Amino acid sequence: MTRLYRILKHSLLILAAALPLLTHAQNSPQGGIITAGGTLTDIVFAVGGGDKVIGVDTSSTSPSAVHKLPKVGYYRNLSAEGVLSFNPKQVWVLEGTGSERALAQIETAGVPVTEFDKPTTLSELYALIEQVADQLGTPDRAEPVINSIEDKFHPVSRAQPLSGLFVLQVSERGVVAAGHDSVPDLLFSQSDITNVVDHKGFKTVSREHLLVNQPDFIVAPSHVVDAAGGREQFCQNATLQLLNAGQSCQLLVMDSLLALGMTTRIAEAHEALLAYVNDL
Amino acid sequence: MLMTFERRRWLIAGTLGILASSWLLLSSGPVLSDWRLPLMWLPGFGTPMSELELTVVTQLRLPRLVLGLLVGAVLAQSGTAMQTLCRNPLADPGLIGISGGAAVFALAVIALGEQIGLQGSIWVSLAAFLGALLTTFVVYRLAGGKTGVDVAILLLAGVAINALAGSLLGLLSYYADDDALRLMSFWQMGSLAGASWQQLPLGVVLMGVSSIALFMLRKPINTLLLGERQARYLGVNTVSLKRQLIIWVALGVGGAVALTGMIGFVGLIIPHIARILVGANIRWLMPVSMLFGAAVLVLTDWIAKTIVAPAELPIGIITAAVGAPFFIYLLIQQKRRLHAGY
Amino acid sequence: MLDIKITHVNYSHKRLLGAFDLSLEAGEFVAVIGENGAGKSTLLNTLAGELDYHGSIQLNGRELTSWIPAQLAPVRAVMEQKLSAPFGLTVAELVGMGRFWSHEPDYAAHQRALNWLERLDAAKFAERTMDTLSGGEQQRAHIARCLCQLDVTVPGEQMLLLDEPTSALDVYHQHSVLAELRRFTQQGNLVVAVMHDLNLASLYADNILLLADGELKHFAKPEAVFRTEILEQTYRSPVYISEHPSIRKPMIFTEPRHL
Repeated sequence: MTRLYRILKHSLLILAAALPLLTHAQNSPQGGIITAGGTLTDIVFAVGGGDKVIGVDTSSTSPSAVHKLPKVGYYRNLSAEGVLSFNPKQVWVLEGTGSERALAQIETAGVPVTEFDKPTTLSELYALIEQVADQLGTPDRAEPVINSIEDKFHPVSRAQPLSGLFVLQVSERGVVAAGHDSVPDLLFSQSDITNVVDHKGFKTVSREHLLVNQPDFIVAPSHVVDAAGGREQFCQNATLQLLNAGQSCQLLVMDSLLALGMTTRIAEAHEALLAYVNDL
Repeated sequence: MLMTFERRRWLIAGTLGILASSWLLLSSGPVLSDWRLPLMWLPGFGTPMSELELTVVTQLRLPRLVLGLLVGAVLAQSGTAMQTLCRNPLADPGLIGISGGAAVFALAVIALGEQIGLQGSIWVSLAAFLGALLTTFVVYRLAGGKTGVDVAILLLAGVAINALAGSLLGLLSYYADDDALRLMSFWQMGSLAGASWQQLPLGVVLMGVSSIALFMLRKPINTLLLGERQARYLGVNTVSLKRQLIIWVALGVGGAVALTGMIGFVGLIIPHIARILVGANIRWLMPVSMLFGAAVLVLTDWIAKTIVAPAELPIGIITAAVGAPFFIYLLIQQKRRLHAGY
Repeated sequence: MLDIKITHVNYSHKRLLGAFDLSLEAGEFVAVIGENGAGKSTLLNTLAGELDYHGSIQLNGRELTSWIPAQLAPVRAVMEQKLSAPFGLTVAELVGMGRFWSHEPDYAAHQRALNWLERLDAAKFAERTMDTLSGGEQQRAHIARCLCQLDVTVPGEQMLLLDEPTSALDVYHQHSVLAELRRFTQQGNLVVAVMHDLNLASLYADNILLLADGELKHFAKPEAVFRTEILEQTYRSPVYISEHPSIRKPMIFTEPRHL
């Protein structure tokens, strides 16, 4: 047993030696905002508050400026001490349970936390933009952003009915498709496209249902198509091959962020979809 | 040859381990790292600290340390009790359905919380605790017999219930939306990060009472090493003993799971290591397991907190990532000894 | 001291023991013999409380089923045939476990344990762990445990149930253990031991209890039971009985079988 003893002793010594390496505190500029939640970060930057942001969470991937900012973790699993080590003046979080304890601890430490509701509809998105601009003390910055979205993201109606399917995942087992209460569904409804799937959120779809309700075209996010090995391979999926749209590979590949996140660039997603559909 | 003083040295080692890992957890972290921090309450050692830093140490790190020590000790102690009761070195507190039950109820609240109006981590904790107790009760009734709990059936019933829980969890995963799914997987990996002085008292009471009760049952539990029959001949009321064991383990581990989610491996590996070091005699095994469990859990919490700072890893990942290879190492070293005594 | 008046003992619809009408006195050393499967261990298990019996078994005037474990422990000790050797338990600790019922402090139990190990010539491995011992050494440790369990200031009216206590012992230790058991009975206690070695049984037992097919066939002194006709019928082998050269006890000789 002396061998085990030695191993334990050595491990402890190594740890003790490592301690000095840890005696550096996170240094960061005093008093800024930490934003957690991709949509929230995106909006903050869009209304001009970007220079006040000192750190973001890992779900914040837009706009491109955030890539230079340090990451504090995932907004649904924040670490109180981690956030506090940035010495923020405020912490802004997108609603989503999981970090409540950490947020409570942050407040106990004297840093105010503001929570924002997650937008699921366009009007909620506009409300959130206004709210953020208000909080930043620049309420007039909201309008131009909202207008720019509204201009490009107006509902369209079409003479010929069209139906679509948004595929989030393909696998041997079938496909996971976007139903109600999702951004793809919102995009569809704005362009007067019927979503062939009527469940809530992202769920696996039964093949039978798809066979009976065939979509005219398919939309998929870029990261999924890339993972499958490209358009052709993606369309080769067994379930998709059952559909006419799959056989003829009527596929629109959309940037993942655009297609899945409720960001200020949602109008671009709308335009991309419209452009594709009009070509059909 | 296991002389008393040899075993005593592991008690000392365990205590030192607790001191060392407590020191680590208190003195390092993203906000402030200073090895002198734990001394700050002693006159003359105080380091100048901002209000924020003081809050972090006293409101965040200190309760987290207390929780870690308590949970580590309780999990290891319960593992010792279960392994002796089941006369099986693979017994784990979760075996009697605690983990499955806690998971189903807790994750149900996470997944369906919105629909049933129960949102918030307090409900998740409550559900986890109730779930642990409920499933333990069901498993206990299933395994009840003339001479009290039939251990073989207990294990099988626990396996069956855990399997049932697994399928229910699958169902919940299907109905949950993305948000909830993420939360569910985090919960199942366990975390000590939510510790706070407000939340601790109830957990301390639950775990403390269960721990003391089990500790006081050391002698009778020891007789189980000779088998239930022989324990009876020695004068132990085995029916009552088994029932008490299960109740206290359920309360203690249920309380721990309610506060931290599921942390695996501790209840399985720590008693193993302790058994190799001090033998199967519960009079030594239990205290050494408790000390080692506390020290190791706090150490792994420190790793979880530090390794991807400023983010944190769920502690269950570390206990599995460190525990499993170490366990394999032990297996290879101790192949012939593992079955002795059971 | 032990009055057995049972009609039968069943287990999952099988009759294991038939009718027994037997009275065992304090101070007796009873050796239970018989073919394999005759019911010797079953009888012991019934006396140990493991099997349900139909009828009455009275220990010291009280029905066996009315005793609770805590009451039985100072009065009855059982050594099973299959012995366990938990890992990491020292011999002294094992023997000391016998004192559980007394709730005495550890050092007192430890002292008693050492005394009994001394008596059974096992003191030299008191601090060794059980799993490092040979089969015979483990057996002696368990016997020490049983005797330690029944170690009381005023001995008498206690019962020791042993299933093949000398099976792994060498000649020297067979005799020292059996002598120790005889001393136990001389203090006014009862020993019921299943034994396969007929000659040892003859030398040490007061009475022989012979079982066959779950039935009580004979209960009498060795001279009365160890007769050619009885033993040949029981063991289905030729036997020759002769008197021991220096002690007036029957010695049994068997002969090799030719196939």
